[in-house]
Amino acid sequence: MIHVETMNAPSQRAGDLSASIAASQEAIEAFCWDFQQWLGTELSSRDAFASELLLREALVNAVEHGCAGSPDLMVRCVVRGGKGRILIAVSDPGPGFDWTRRLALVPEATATSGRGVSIYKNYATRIRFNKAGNSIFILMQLNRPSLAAGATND
Amino acid sequence: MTNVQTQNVDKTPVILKVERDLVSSHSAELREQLRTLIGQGARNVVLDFGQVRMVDSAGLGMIIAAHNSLKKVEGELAVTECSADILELFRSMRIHQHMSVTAAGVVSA
Repeated sequence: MIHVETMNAPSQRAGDLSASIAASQEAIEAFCWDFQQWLGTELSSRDAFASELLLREALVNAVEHGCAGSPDLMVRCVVRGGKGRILIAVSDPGPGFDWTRRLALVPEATATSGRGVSIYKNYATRIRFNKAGNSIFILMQLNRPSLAAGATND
Repeated sequence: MTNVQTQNVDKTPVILKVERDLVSSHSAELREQLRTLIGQGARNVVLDFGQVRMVDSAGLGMIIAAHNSLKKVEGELAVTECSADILELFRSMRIHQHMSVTAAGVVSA
């Protein structure tokens, strides 16, 4: 279901973290806990924060939209570490969505939803979906430049 | 999830010390607490993020919703004691253009 070979696989692996989790918030929290342990303490705070944030967004989208919150359904998650980068792959059994249209949307300043895509754009080095839109592959380069550099009106 | 340190109505700041990460799994509790506070008349609400390690898009949406609700009643929302990572997230999402967002150890004006 997950085609990690379509990405540039890290040449050096720190070991994969993979699981099929129930489509529930509790399972998301449990996997994120495992992810924090898997990351260890070697990464900078910025990289640890960014990678967990990207993972959370992918998992929440899969659970809430792909599985419509049904805990009977399962979400497949794989995290792979390598030289200077982290790859996250999340797949759900849902029908997928029109990710080309979704990625083009920019949320209004006062919108209370829709910022997950902005997080992907700001924190990921590269994201890809499968054709159906029910699998996402996220590549995050470590030691990325500051996001705030492009922000104005500080 | 949160501990209300001070509570009053009108323009007296109400400081909520957020004690859990503001993520999809936990944001409903704070949303309800803010809704109750605003309903009771609170107009200046300060979220103390000193113990918050992570905020996701659901948490950002919850903050914007609270900001929108307070704006409607001429109130204000502020977020204080943000970690460097959360501050960077807020700035990258331009949240800081709509409300006061300050880093840990910085006294809000």
